[in-house]
Amino acid sequence: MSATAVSLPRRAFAPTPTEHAPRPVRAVPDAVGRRARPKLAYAVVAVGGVLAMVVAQLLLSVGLSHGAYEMSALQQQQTTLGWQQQSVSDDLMNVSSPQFIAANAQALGMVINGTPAYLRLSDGAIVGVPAAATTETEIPVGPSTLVGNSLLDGVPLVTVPGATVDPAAAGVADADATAAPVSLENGIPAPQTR
Amino acid sequence: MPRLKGRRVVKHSLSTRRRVTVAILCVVVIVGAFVVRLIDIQVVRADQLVAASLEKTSGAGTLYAPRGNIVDTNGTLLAGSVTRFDVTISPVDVDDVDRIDDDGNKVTIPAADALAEVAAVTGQKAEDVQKIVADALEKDASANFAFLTRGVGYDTYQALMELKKSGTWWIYTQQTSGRTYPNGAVAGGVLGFVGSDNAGLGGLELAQDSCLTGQNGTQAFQRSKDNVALPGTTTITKEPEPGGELKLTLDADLNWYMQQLVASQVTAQQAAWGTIVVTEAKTGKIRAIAEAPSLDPNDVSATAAEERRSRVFQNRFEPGSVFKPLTAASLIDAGLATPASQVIADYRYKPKNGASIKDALPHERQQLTLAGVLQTSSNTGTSQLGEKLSAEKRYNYLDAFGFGHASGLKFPGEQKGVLHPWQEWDNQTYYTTMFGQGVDVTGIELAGAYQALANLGEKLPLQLIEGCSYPDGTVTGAPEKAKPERIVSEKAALETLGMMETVVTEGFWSESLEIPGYRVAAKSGTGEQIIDGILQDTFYSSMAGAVPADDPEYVVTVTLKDPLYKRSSAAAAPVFKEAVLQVIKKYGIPPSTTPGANYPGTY
Repeated sequence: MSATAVSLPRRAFAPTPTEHAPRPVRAVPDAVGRRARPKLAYAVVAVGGVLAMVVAQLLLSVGLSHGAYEMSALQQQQTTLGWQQQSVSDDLMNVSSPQFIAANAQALGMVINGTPAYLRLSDGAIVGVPAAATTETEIPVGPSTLVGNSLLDGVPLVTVPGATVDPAAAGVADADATAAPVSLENGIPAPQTR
Repeated sequence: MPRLKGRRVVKHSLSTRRRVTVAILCVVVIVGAFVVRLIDIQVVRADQLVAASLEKTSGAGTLYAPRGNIVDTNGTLLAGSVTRFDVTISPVDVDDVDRIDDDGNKVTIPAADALAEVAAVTGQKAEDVQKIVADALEKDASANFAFLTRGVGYDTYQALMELKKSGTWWIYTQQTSGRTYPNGAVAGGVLGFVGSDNAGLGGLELAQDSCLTGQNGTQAFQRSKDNVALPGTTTITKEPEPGGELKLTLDADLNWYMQQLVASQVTAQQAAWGTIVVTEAKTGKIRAIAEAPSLDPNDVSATAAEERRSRVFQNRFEPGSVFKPLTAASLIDAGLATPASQVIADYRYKPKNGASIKDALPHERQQLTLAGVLQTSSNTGTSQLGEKLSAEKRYNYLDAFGFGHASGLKFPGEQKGVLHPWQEWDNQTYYTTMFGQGVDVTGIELAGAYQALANLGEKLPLQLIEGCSYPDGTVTGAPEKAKPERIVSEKAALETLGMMETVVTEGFWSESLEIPGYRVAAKSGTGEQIIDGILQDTFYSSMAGAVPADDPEYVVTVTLKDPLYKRSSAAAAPVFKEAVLQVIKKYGIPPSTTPGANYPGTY
């Protein structure tokens, strides 16, 4: 194809052959060769670029998916910690129940004072008829386990180390109470904690 | 050149045309096949394929909507939702477990021992766990799912995860939701309980199920092969709607004390059961419903099925003399008596209609006033004064006090008292209804009637629920403010309360009832019970009253069934006193500054 291209102009400008004689003739392949080298560089750059992009994409997705696993693990941890928090606050609520407080108070030998009396701050007057709390009331208050709470079964008391809230060991609540005379008037001797 | 070309075309035309035709055909066939396939995939089976692909690449999760809490009037948690775990096992995979022990040696735990380890953690028996596995395998040799136990707590879950990490991989857990009642049996019978599916089965848990139940939501996400959600793909397809928070009028602390008190007396007197109801006189709000024994909703199975109830709502009984103040109030309201009305009361009274009335204990002839009739709880005196009011009118009074109408609180399984229409009263019943026999009431009806008396004659609907509030702030279920209904005049109510005050100061049980510095109105009741036509030798012992007597704030009603050592209202009297004392302390009611009512009992 290149041979034809070179010969055609010659024919066209035939009337002035003298002009042509001193001109040096270059080999066509030279020019072709010079143009081919940059093309290879472009190719290398292009292919390299594509490769780089693929690698970057790979690394990025690896990074991303690694992040996803990390997030998943952290979310799982968050859930677990949430459960743990709930579990602990449930325990707290259980020991805040009146039964547990009563069990602890009874274990210390505390009794309920039934007599209402108030100290009026404005004039320091005593309103009502104060009286000492005693265990001698018509209804002896039974062990705290009379009002059941299965959530407290076996929970250790805070006031008496080693003792637990246990219906079977209800006597524990009476351990430190003063030896009040057991009244048989009410039929059965229930723990006189009041 | 054109010539040359033309020659070639002509020369190869036949084979070229054939080739072109074949090529075009090929192209058409291939493109056609692709088009068909494309339409098949994109149009015909599109939905199916999209669904299938989503199934492979996406996951869905349930967003649990917790069941709403039940709180008392101060916000103390009575019932709440907690995360629980169901433990499951893959029976077909149960096998020896390889484990590295502390010294770095590989040890093999036999399957039976591994199962025993699991059983120890879940609190089951080793043989039970083995039986679950064996049963599942017997049913289906390749069974890979069986429940070991349900609803275990976080501690157990954690221990199971440790086991799983150390090689027992064939156990699994599923998150689920459970119910907890931190205060145990406090108001347990009223709260009720839930089933394993967390739906209400009894008490308020059942009655208010629609308030408490939430709507679970769903979420969707794209997942990787190993089921990890791809970042940023999680979408909530349906928001969970948590259940509402049910607020009661009850006070947990007061309720506990009342329960401890009544339980102590039930134990001491070997009674069948006992109840205390504390009601706010001026609002009708119930502050305590104490029952002994009471259901612990945390451990429903510990209570026999027929005992899982609220006796205040679900038991009927003949109340006895606690009816007398109501008869007295009716008489005063009708203008037929005053606290000073006189009557000669013998042990027996035989009216003209053939009925026969006698008092609880034999006594000499007494010259009583209406106040004295209440103080001595005279049946014969009540009958003689009460017959001035026609049966119809008396029925209307009792009906208006609320007997036979239930509480209006729509408690599940609630009973109604039985007040027969006056036309059906026989000669005996005509008289016995004056003093609370021949008529059945529930504890809550009695509390309601005394609320009317204590509210100076105006009856309000009893209220147990403050409302059901949702996270967005809306509150539903709050009872409408009802118009009080006047039953008896203020004068009649005040005079009756005054006479009841003299019951405390002058009556049988004044030693058990009097509270220095306070004016308390009360009336005792010893209700007879006839079972299968035989009059029993045990009674319903009750005490009902209000404090302070001149302007009541609180109504306290006490009922004990079958106390054995003190068989009369003497069993209920000290309970009433302690209950009133606690109400005084709890609400800081100041001592009375006015002198007590002075109605002489005799003339």
